[in-house]
Amino acid sequence: MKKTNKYQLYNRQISIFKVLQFIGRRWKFVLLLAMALAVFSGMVRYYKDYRNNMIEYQKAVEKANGINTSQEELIAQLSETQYNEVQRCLYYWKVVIDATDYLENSLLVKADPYSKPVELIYYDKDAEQIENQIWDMKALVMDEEILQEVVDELGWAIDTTYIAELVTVTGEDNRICVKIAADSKENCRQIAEIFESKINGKFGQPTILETTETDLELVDQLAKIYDSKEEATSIVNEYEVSFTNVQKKLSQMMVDEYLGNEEESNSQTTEEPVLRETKLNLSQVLFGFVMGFVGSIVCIGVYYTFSGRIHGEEEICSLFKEAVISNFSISVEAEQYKKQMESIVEKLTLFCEKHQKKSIFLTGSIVNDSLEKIMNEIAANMEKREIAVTYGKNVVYDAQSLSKLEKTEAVVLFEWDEKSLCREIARELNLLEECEVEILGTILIEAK
Amino acid sequence: MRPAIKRENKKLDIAKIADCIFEVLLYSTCLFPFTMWVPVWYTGTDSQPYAFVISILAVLYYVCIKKENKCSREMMLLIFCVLLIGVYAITDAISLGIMYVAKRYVTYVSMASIPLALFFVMKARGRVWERFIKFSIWVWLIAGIIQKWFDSDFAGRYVIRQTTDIERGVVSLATEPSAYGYYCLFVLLLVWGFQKNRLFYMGLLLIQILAMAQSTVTLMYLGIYLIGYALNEILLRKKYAFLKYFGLLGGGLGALYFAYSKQLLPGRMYQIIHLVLIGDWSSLLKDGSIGKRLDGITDSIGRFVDNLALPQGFVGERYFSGNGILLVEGGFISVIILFVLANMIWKAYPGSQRFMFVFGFLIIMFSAIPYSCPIVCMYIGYCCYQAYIGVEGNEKNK
Repeated sequence: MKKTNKYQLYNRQISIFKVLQFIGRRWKFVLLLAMALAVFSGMVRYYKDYRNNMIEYQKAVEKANGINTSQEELIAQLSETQYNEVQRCLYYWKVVIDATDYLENSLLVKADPYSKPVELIYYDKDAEQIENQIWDMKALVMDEEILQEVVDELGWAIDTTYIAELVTVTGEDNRICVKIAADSKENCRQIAEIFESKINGKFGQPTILETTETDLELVDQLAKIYDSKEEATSIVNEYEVSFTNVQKKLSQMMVDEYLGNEEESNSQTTEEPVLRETKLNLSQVLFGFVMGFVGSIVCIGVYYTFSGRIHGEEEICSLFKEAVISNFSISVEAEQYKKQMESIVEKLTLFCEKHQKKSIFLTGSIVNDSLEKIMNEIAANMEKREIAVTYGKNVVYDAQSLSKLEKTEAVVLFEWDEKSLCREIARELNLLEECEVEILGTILIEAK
Repeated sequence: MRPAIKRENKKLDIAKIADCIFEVLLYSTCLFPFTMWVPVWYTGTDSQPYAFVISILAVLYYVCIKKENKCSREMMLLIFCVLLIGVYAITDAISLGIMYVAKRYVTYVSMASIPLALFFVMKARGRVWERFIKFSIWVWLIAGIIQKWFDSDFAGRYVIRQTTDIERGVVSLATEPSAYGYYCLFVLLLVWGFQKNRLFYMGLLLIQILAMAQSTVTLMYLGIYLIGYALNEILLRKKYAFLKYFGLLGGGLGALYFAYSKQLLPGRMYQIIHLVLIGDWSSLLKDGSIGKRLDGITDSIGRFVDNLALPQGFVGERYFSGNGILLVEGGFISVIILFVLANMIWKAYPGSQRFMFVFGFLIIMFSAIPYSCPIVCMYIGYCCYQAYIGVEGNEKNK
């Protein structure tokens, strides 16, 4: 017979409150791990800083004695992570340098589009297949050779990129509009006329208009460059603050190399070697603490979510559609234990009477010695009420228990809260259903 | 006894009103993700943060006040991953500035909060609010029609920018045609599960993608889903799988070639297909949009491998790729996030369609679609709810 499983365990729903409660109960572990990681991470960083300072000091002494260090030697002194940090810092240095260079040389910046409108000249042209012609026009005005010729004719000592960015091609209705922005009307017109001579009437006769409209796209472009420079500068500063002396020196050498000042970087004046004081890096300690705190919370939460253990009576009802007859806490005082026992016996008797059962079988997915003792006590009490009670281990794995099923009319399951596995309970229930044994309900055992 | 009953009824009504308010606010902020509802709140980003704020309030309301706090295990894992990335956010905030890091970390929080809030809202209603989605489709369509034929600047002041020109399509209530396109695509994925007029609304959305947005990249997204469909058919060894595969491939390419040869395609799309057909790959890669997207994917994967899948945190540049940013910033944690998202989508659809949707989503998210966009998070929330009601319920809807 093909075994069927009607329980959709993969669709389990987890209560956020219960997860928080579960984590809250383990607050000591969370704090302990957070403190341990804070101390560990602080110590590791302190040791690394101390070691780097010592190496730097030794190198400084060597340098003072006339030994010069090259880039390769500096790289050899750094760990891979430290070197990667320098590389990243260099990347942002390059952004800063390029942006500064651009802002110094761009004609657009000189046009000062923030304080006054950029002068624009429109070329309106009638065109039948406008869409394809726009592409041709764009290709023409972006052509490197044409741009170079324009720069040559203007007689300006600038890169062609700075001319290209002043020209935008758009389409409006049945016109192709070439907008040219520059710092003055004269320059606009001059550039426009040179372009027109290069295009050589390919798109018909132009209409040149003057306008005081601000080209917002160009303003946006400038704003982006300003922003990227600002952002990169702050990142560079952050890197340099956290750098060791070796990293700083390597970074400086690389930046100089990029700027073409290699000679300058090699001819620095030698300073008196000083052993830097190693300080405890508080941000690293904080990182360790937060990492430990959140990490332990996540570990406990993931364990709770994916352990596959049953979480409370609500889940037994929702996942297995089984009634929970009673809860039973084993770690209580003797008097309370006795009361619980009486209550369970009473409820079981009621259930048996309601379902007209005279013999029941007690089992569970985890039947250990303490549970067997409880089952034994229940059996003894139930016999006084003329209900035959037998008990045994997990019916899925224990043949002896399975054989006892034949002599009973119904089964009561004993499952451990936060201990019994859902898939084991499902297996048990599937087997009991296959054996056509009625299940009266479940008693949930709470260890704590 | 009477006053007590009265009080109970009153309480019930307030709860219903609150449910309704959160539902309307969440749906409207997710389905109009680019609209500036409060114009003075300038964030500088295309997608507005209203959905994020509303979702946080909704989650707090449902968990703390309504005591509705159950969610799937995948959602819990997603929340834990977001918490872990939060460690990097806290430490990076010290060096890079709180606002700078918070802006980037919001993406991750949105990925958990918006789907969770929508899950609670959909659970409260007992189904997806189809009417609101249909209403939003009509609003977007009408805005698109007005922009295309009557007033090209229509609704311009309600979005942060409207970047388009004569060669490209209209933007409707989005910021650019490609954003309009991917918005339509995600709504199409929501419409897929509709109980009534599914095909009609799918048709409306396809019209918006092809005739209004005219976005090449959205066509590519649709193509990716079609490839996913074909692979799905082949992997499941369905009847006539290869025939369908080659039929789709041939039909799609044939239709494109026909439109190209008859010059029916819009300028930019025409130009790209022209460059592909003449084999001018270098010019194709020089195209700003395509180049940026490809660079985003390759650079981010390269950085992820260079970092040995360790999280880089929020230091460094942002890439032009949704999954790319995730992988670089979150490292292996993001791999778990992607696995969780794939699992949610996998569970949301019946067995015969699962592969297509997971494949399509994971691939298109490598493009420039940001996870911070509420419509993406809404789709995740929708999948989460579909998984909750079960595949049986899902199939019954068809």
